[in-house]
Amino acid sequence: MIESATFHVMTTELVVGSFALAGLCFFLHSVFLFLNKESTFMPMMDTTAHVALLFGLLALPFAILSGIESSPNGAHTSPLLANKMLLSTAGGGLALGVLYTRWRMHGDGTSQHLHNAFGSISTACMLLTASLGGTYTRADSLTEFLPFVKENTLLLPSWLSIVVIALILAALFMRQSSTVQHR
Amino acid sequence: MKQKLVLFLALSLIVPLHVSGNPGGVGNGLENMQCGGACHGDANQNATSNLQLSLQPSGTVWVGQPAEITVQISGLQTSHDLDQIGIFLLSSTNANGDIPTTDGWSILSDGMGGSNNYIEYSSFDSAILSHSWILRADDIGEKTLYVSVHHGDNSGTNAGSPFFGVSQAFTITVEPIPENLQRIHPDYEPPLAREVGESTKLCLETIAASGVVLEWREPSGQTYQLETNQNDQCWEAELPAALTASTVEWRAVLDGEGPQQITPWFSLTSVEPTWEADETALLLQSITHLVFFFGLVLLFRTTRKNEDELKDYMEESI
Repeated sequence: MIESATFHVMTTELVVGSFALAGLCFFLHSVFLFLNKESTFMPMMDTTAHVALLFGLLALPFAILSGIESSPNGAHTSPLLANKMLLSTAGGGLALGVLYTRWRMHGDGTSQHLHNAFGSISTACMLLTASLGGTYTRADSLTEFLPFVKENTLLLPSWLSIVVIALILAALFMRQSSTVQHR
Repeated sequence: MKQKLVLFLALSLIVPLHVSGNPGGVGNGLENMQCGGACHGDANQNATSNLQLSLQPSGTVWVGQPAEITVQISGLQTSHDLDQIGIFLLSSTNANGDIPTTDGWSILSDGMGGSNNYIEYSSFDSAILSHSWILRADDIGEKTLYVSVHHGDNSGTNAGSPFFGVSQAFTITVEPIPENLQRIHPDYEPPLAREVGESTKLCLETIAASGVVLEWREPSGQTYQLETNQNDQCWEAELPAALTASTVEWRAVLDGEGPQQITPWFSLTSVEPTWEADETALLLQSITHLVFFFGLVLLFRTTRKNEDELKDYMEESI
C-alpha cells in the first residue's frame, strides 16, 4: 500500500506542473494581447492554459487530502501547514472560477487581462503552497524571504467563515437574479 | 528568437544540477546513516568530511541503567567552514537498521528535548563540539556504536557540496548490575520537554535505594538541590518552571548498601507553547477560501457584463 506522504508528493507534482504550465500560458496570452498581435499562438495559449488548469484542479483534492493525511499532527498544529491549506484552497477557488467563467460564460463580459490575471494568481497561490511544502520538509525554499507566511496565519472564527460563505452565495444569487431581469 | 529560447531552456536544465543538500537541515529525528540516501538526495554526491569523530561512555555501562554517551567532534571551522552540522549516533553503518534502538538500546534523551539519534547544531562556540546522549542498554554484552556527521562547507574546493563522515566502531561493554546495588528502576523514563512557565514534578522510581538526593543545574552551570520526599518506591521532587526557552539538567544521587551511585545529567528542555489552531475553524476557512475566490471571479465578470449592457443601452438610446 502506498504511503500517504508518497502519494502527496506525486499529486503535488501533478498540481504544480499543471498550474505552472497554466500560469505561463495565461501570462503569454496577456503579453500577446497587450502587444495586440494577431497570432496563432493566442488561441493555443488560451486553450493550453485552461486545459492545464483543469488537469491541475482535478489533482488538487487528492493533493490536499493526502497532505492532511501525511502531516504528523494535522494541519492545525503548524502555521506553515495551515497557510498551505488556505493558499491551496484559495488557488483552487480562483482556478474553479476561471474555468467556470470560461466554460459557462465563454469569457464574455470579462476583460481577458483580468481573466488571465485570475488564472496567474491562482498559479502563484499553488507555487507558494508548494514552496511552503519545501520549507516544511527541507527547511529551505525559494520563498525564504517571506517569513510571515511561515510563522503567522490569519485565522477567522468559524462564525465569520460561515458569514463570508453566506454573503458570497447571496451576492452571486442577487447578481444572477439581476442578470435574468435585465434580459 | 529560437536561439534565445533554446539557450534559456538549456540554462534552466543546468541550474538545478547544483546540489547543496538541505542547507536548512531536516530537524532532529530518528534516522539511519545518510537517512537512507534521502538527506542529500544522492549519497554518491557526498564529499568526505575531515572532522575528527570520537565517542565514549562516561563510566561503567550497567544493564538497564541510564548511561551517558558523549561524542566529540573536532576540527569545526578549521577543517570546514560550517553553518550547521547534523550528528548521528548509530549502531551500524548499513544505512538500514542503524538506529541504536534496533540494537538493544533505548534512547532516554538526546540532550535536545527529544529521544532521537540524529540531532542538528546551527552554532558552534569552539572548534570542538561535545554532545551527550543518555542511552539504556537492555541486555548484557559488547555493543558497537558509531558517530557520523553530515554538513556543508562554505569555502574550499568542494564548497557547496554535502559532506559526510563516519567514525570507527566504538565498542561499549554492558555489564550486569550487582545485586542490591541501589539503582533507578529499569522502566523509568525521564521527562524530556515541557512548556515555558510550567514546573515539572519528578517521580523517580528506584530499587534498593535508602536515600535519594535530586540536583538540578541551570544552563550557566549553577547547581541546586531539590527537596525530595519518598512516596512508596518513588522519590518526588519539583523542578521549578523556566521563564524562557532553555534547557536545564537534573540528576539523582542514590545511597544504599553499595557505593554511592550518581546518574547522568538528564536534560529537560523548556519550549514555547506550541501553536495550535481550532481544526474545525481551519477546515471551514479553507472552504470559505474556495467559495470566496470562486465567487470573486464570477462577481467581477457579472459586474463587467452589466456595465457593458448599460453602455450598449446608452449607445442605443443616443
